[in-house]
Amino acid sequence: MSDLRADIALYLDRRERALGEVRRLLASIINFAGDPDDIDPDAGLFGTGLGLDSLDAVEILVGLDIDLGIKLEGDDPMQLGLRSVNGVVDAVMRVRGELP
Amino acid sequence: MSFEDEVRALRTSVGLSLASHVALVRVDGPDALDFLQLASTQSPYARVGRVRTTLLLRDDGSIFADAFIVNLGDFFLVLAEGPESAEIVAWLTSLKTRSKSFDVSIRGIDDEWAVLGVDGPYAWELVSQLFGAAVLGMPYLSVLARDETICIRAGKTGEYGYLLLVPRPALDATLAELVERGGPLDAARVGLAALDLCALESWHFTMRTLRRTETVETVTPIELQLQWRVVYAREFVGAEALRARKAEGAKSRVTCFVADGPVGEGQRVQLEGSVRGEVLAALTSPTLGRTVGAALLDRRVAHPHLALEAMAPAGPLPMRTCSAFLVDNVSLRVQPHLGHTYATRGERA
Repeated sequence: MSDLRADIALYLDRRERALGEVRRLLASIINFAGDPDDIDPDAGLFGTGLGLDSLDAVEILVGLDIDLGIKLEGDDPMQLGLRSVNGVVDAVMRVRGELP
Repeated sequence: MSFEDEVRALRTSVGLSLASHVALVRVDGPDALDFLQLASTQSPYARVGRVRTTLLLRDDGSIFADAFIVNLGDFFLVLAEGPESAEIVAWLTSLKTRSKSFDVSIRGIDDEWAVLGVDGPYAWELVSQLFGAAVLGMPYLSVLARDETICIRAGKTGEYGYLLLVPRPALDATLAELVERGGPLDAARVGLAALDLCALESWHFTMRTLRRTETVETVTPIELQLQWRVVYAREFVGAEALRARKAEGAKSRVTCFVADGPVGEGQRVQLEGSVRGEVLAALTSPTLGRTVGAALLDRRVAHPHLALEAMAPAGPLPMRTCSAFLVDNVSLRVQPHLGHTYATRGERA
């Protein structure tokens, strides 16, 4: 977008890309029948929102590693900040050095 | 009891509330399930004793009510926030002949039943004293019954939360019992303002977050990040408008933010000198020592980690968008089945 400073525009482009990747990963884990773009960025992963369980949490960690090449240190999704879709996107971008 | 004390109780022990803002409507009859399918964005189909989180929309896709639909076997119970129960009854009644003639009976039951809220990391400990050890294993959005009282696990604070449906004649005695049994847990009476703040911090939608904005006339579940409560493939009131909004592409999205200054509701939000949205909700969080809120932002910039400005009357105030959730809930580390009681909290710390 030409009306945004270059560094902000770059961050937003990278954010959209990472969000798309995470949405597709989560959609495959929960067998989401709809369009992955309908997964809200701040939807919770557990309880309300996507309603994942502890087994799904393991699948997220494995999927991040295999599908996106993102290896997270630790195995507790809560301690890793993986409570929402955006929490997963943050983790991906942090590993890639893309968070502002 | 100060507001700060109420929030502290909700975040560290137990908060007791009279949930008079929750309307109760009973739906009976052979067509009750089909009828609620039409009214609700989420299929109300659930096993007996389970609860669905859903929305009731207007035809234009805007939100009429935030609702739980409870399957109690012989009938369904709608617990709704937003309109009064008489308005919900009138709205549901208007749908009885919409797509066919539904054989249902709809009536508000607020004059017969009251709702008590029990929220906090040790809410389970208090509620289990009334309902027994089965409370410890209650999944989120499930129901337990004891005598004439119904317990629903359905909090919105990010902590353990329960709604107790109590016959009106037993309300005072039940509340007194909760207060007495809650003494050793430092349970405190809390108001709606404290509950709303905790909901905002934990990114739970409440109807109080909604305000008619100048920038967007109709805010739907798409802008509010509530699509997880919508099944697009179904037919329900508002579905057509919602699908049309989705097809054209929503132009804005609600995003959470924090600020160190007194950002206020309705203030415009700027990025690099251009207006990018508006503050929908802003509350001071004693837990974080900052303002927390929700802003409706242009979709392009509706992402976390952006430095923006709220246009306050005294001048621009810095704010920063962030990812949900805003607080580290104590309940995440409290395991009832491992005996993590309030009395032993110090040992675990």
